[in-house]
Amino acid sequence: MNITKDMINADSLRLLDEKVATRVIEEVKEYCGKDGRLDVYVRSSWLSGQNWARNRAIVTSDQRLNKVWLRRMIKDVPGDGVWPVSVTCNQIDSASLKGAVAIAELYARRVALPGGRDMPPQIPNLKPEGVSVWSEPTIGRSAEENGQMIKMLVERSEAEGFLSAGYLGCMGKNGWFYERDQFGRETIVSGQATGAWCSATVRHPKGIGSGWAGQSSFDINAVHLDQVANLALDKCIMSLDPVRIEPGRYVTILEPQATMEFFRMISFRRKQPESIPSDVYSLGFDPAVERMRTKLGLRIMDERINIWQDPTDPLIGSHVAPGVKKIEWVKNGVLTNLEDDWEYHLSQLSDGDPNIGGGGRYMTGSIQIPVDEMIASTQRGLLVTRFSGTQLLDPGSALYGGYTRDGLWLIENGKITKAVRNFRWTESPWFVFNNVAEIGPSVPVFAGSGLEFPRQLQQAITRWVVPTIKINDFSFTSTIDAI
Amino acid sequence: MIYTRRHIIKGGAISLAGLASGRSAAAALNERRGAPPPSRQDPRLKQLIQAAVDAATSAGASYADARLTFTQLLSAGKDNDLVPSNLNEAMNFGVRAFVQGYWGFASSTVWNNDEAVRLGRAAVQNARANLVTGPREVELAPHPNPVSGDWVMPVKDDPFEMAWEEISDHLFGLKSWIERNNGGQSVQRLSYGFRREDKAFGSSLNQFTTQRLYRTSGEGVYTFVDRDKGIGGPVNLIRHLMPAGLGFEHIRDRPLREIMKERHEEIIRDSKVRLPVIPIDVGRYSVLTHDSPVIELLRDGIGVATQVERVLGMEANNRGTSYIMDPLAELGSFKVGSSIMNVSGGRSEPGSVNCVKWDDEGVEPPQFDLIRQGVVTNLQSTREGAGWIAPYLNAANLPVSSTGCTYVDNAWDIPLGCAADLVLQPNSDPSYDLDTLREEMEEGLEVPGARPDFDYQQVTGFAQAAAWQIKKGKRVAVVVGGAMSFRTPELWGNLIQLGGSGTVGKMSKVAIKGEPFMNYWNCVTAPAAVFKDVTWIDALRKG
Repeated sequence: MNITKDMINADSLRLLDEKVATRVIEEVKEYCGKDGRLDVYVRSSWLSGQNWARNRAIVTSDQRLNKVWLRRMIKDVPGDGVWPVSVTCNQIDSASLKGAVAIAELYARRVALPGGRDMPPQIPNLKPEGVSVWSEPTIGRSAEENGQMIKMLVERSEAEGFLSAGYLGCMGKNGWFYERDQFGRETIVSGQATGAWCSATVRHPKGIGSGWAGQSSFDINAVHLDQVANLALDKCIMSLDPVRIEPGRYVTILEPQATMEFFRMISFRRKQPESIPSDVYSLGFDPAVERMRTKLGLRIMDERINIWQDPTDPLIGSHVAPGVKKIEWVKNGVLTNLEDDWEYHLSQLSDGDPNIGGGGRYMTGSIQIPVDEMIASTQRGLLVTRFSGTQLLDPGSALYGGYTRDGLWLIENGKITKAVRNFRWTESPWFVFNNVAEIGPSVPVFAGSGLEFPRQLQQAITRWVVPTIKINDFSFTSTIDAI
Repeated sequence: MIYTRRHIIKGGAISLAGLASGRSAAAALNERRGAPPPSRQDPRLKQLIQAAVDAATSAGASYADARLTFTQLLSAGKDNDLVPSNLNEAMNFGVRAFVQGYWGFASSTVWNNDEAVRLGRAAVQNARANLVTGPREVELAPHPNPVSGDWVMPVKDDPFEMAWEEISDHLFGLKSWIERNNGGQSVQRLSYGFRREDKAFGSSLNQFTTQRLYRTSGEGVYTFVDRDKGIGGPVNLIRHLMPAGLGFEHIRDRPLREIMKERHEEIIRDSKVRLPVIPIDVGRYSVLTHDSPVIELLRDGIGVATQVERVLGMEANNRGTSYIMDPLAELGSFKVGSSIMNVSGGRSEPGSVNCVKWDDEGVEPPQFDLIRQGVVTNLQSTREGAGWIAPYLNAANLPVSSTGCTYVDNAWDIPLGCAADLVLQPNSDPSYDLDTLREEMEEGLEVPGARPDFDYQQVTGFAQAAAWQIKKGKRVAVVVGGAMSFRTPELWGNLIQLGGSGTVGKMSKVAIKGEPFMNYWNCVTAPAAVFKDVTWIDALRKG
């Protein structure tokens, strides 16, 4: 009856261990030709989740996965490029691995066509600088423990006559990334991570109010479920019976989850401004130096804003790729660095360390105002919980549109006076970050399953630490019916 | 560089050998595999599923089901690599158990008896972990017909049984044609993707089914340039290569060269008739929409809002809810459109990306009316969802059963209620083509394509669109910078005319649902349509 040969998902074992992963890589190496380039990525994951809705857990799940990805690049014809062939399988027995290698070999050699790509440069074997993002309580979490948590999460909402829905998830992943370049040089990088996240939406049964809250961390013990439950309910109660007000430009306080939506629209990638005149960081062609110029050294946002990344912050802890280090992107509103990727750095730049993005990305204000004070100093404005449905409207001006969601309030004479109906908004991150009235303390925002590993260990993921910000003249274009 | 078949063969002796041997990816892989994945007829599939279901019911499940999927993906042409460059195989095993109103689910990538038993027990254990949250009274709608059987989606050419070189050859041929007919300009994007899935399903209702499903898609994007005339314009084949439940014939049998040639001629023709370009004058207009915007508006505004999970708030923390908030009170009376609006659902249309014989609860999806004369008469449902709306279904003399919308992308995913294929009935008078609809329009806008987005209850929508201004039945200007702003029930309530069968188009699209999210696909078919009093705003205006 056995179809899968290796019994690796025993009840006590949620992830592959190093011994099995090493055996898989060794087998793949053995079956492959010794020429050309070989990349192998072995990974496994475990994901446990509990969905609840209408105040009851509806499904609890446990999902386990193993995967082997391998890529071959063989340069058969001198002068021509390579045609990479990749094969993925999720069986790690010898017969399956042999089959996967055979197909990659067969086609990597067969496609000896003119053209193709240059052999990509190999990334140096650097030790990642990140902190551990592994939590034993998270990987050891049981469904029964989470069931108790769901009970607590819905109890107060149910008692007060509201409907709670949400998701509580725990996951663990590990992976080994092996590379052998065309000269036979080998590197291997491994990593492991856990993640935990919980978000809740509490709604009035008649649909006249809605509140949301969420927290995430690599450690389940750092996700405060009671805070999530209470905040979502409190926001729902505060948002009941919203009134319609006129759309237009308002002084607007964006809570961190809403600020993040604009922050993540901004990339600091270097490639584009040096080749595309329309790129946001490009100053166009400078005949004096006969090349494209970037905005490095120029002020691009409010002078109180600082933006940097740090892979070593134990509070944020996210998986980082080799070479990710602490980098300052914006200092006092001035663009100080642009981001490279390894391929670009190794093929286009001759010296210096590359600016590889990843780790926690922070936006902070040089002067930090508590949110209460922001509200108190607002004559008339709006307080936004979060956005949904954000879409790019105009790439040229980086203009986006979207909707407010799960809590929007009117501030009058320094006080929150009423809940208001949601708006559609139209705005650009460049306008937002150049029209800042005040900046609050920065906090980590909900990341959901973004805590997962990237596709390969050579890539990094980013987590966001952002402040509440008060914006002058934020543009709301129409009221919407959704509550 | 322009490639020809001769060049390819000349360029690679090994390629030539490959063409001669003509082995398929699947065959090549299986040849080298010690233990190839079992075929649909392999009795071990049924044994594994039975072991999982038995383990679940023995542990206390009142109902259990299990799935095994063997999924193969093959893509060619990503990033302009014109050879099949990516093969992905996955064997997944998922078990679901129902215990006192709660679902438990467990899945993995291991196919053996011990794992089947572990998954069955784990699913029950997971369901039991929820009991602490209090009683949950849920009655699954009866399964209408739990028969067993095997079904293969009908395709002409299974891409996994073809030689890869034949697929490459087609891509190279297409690329060469484009470059020859486009002044040597390079192609921006050209790719094909193929998926084949063998799926076995069994449940505690003594049902065991096997199916083979296919999904084939492609894309082709380039800029047509006529240097002599100094004109150019974008060419996009996406409409013609959308995901379909077909094999390689979906690509090979399309008259792509004719389609591209026609588009080139259209670009040249349009350059001669230079209509004035004017900015949108905000206001209310009668709008003639081609099939594509109607499909987009129907899929998200009607299709998503009538999924039972959205209506019941099961997705409230994720994608959102619906403007239908009290299904027992609103079904059968809620008017979402005008009386000429009739929408039916199903999953049995040949060639549809969503076509199945059985859904992921073993239900054979029926054809059903979703909207009759503008009134919502049913929801897209699962067995649990149909149970929730059973009082309405009983009162309306409709079958109390699932509409066959339970779906998993592969057995590793948690089963969810997803979408049926939707069809908006066209005008019974076929003479209503685009020209007739335009000629009947005194003044208004004609919209060939739009990009709608909706709020999280699918009620308020916004659709950026370029349009032609129509006066006395003729296009007189190109209108730019506009967007339609609407409420879904009002928009469809102002539907005043439908195009005939000649205006009907079909589009497939992926969507996401659930936490953790899962992709699902469906196909929507609709004719051109005329709406009155549609509000147009300046799309880029800030408040």
